[in-house]
Amino acid sequence: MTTEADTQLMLDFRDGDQRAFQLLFDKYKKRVINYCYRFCGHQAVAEDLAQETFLRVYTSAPRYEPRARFSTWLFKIAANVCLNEIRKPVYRVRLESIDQDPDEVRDPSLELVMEPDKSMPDALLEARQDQTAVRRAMDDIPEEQRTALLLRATEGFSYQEIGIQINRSENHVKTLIHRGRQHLIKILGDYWGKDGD
Amino acid sequence: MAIDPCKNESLLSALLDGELSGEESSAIRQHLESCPLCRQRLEATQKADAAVRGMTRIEPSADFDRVFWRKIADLENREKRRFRIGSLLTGWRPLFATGMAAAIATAILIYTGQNKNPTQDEAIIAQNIELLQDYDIIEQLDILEHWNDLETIKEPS
Repeated sequence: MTTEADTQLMLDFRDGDQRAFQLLFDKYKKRVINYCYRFCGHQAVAEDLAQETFLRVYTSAPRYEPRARFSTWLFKIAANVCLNEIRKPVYRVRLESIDQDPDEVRDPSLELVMEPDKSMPDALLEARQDQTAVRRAMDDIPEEQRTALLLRATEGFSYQEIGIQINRSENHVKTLIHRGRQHLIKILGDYWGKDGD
Repeated sequence: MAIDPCKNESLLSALLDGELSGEESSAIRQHLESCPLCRQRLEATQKADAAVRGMTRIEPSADFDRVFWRKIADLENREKRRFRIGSLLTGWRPLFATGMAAAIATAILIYTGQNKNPTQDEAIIAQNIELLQDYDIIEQLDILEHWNDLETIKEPS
């Protein structure tokens, strides 16, 4: 489906075609879940945020006017949902309770750091440890820089689109992305140095 | 304005993201050929970007869809209930209810107005006037009580 087709599907849904929403949901749900997961690092929280995103799409349908690509609009909602969540006082409490839940599905790389599996090939173990290091570095980046960086690096939006999504100018977006990368370089520099890279 | 990544490192990010014009990109690539520091910075930026792009991807949980569509169903049920309540506040029903309330209020006012006893107020006023008159009389009595003394004072001996 082309992006123009996505916009048309949303317009069809606005006009009463429920099937159109199902198609958009099926197409984008994995992408939105992964955006939220890379933002927050917990699958359960990420799926809640992704569902909240699609709920907002669903309830916004009567007012939908295509001013940008559908995906730009969709990830604008996702970015706002994630930022609003992380700014809630109860967010940290929620994360702590999840970390204490033995049934919670964590990032597998975290498990390996805590209890390295000696039977695992070195290359795989190293890849998992890299993931952990990046995850922890991302958690340390200020949320607006993290948002801009993810929208650019993992979703491929332009500076102009990201500006629409987070209500910032293109120059500001450029600065946010640059600072986010600098932050990562600073945090991961030591880790990469130990690897001999 | 000169394009100098040494002074503005964010230009390297923009170059990596393809956000520069053709002219700007050429200027920076030319600069990179002679600046090892900027080349090193660009490599670090590329590495950081690759690290983000390579972050773990997950599959949706088995009940993600079911939970979501249940939320949609709950939302729609709430909307239906709100609509039913809202419909009670529109249309002929509220107009009829308002009319009836106005008619009942008017009837109560008329009834209580007719049954009011005019003599009650008058009785209260009359009682107050009587009390006032009594007060005047008592004052006069005081003067009369000492009248003989007053007469004695007036007559010369």
